[in-house]
Amino acid sequence: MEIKKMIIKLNPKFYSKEAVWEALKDFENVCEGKILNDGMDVELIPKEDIKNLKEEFCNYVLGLSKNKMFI
Amino acid sequence: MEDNIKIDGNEVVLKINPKLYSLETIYSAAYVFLDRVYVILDGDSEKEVLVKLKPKKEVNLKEIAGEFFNELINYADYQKRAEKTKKIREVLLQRAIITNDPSIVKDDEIDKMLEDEDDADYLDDPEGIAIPWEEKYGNKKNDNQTKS
Repeated sequence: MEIKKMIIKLNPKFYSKEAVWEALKDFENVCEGKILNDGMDVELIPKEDIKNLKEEFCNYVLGLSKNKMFI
Repeated sequence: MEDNIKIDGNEVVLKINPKLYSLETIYSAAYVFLDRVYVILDGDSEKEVLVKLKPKKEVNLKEIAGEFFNELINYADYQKRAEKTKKIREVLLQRAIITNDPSIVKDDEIDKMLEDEDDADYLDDPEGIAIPWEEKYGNKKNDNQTKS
């Protein structure tokens, strides 16, 4: 089964770059990824077929962003 | 409220006025839903925040949207109360910490307390407590007995 890379567009007004970096590090076992630009387009290349990886990644970044901004 | 909820396929988009609900409130409410829905924040943090909710399991989208708005009110109230009681919580915590470990009181505060202590001599007797009764008021009992 072919595993394709995916692009997530995150709004930089709500998601911090630090949180994305941290999430990419925490997800390194399941995917590779990088931030493509300051507009926070994030590229994910899954290492295996994982259902809803994109959405799970967004939730994880949201949780980290919240904790970084308000705690 | 209907205008603020837009159902699109298997997801729902909520429009939230950031003047009514702070960004912190929106994040806190979204955080509560992370186990049930996928949340994406978008829009403008100054004008209109868009919260996209995509349930992990099949649920009533309108219901989940309503729950999200309820959670917004819950956190808005919580934050307002937290702000109001901030000072009193700080004082209570400070008092508790000082009680357990007085060494954390700043040195200059201790110096000031010691200075006050230095000024006072234990031999000082401003109230005249150390003066014997007879010396202070005379031996009235004996005087009375002598008179009678």
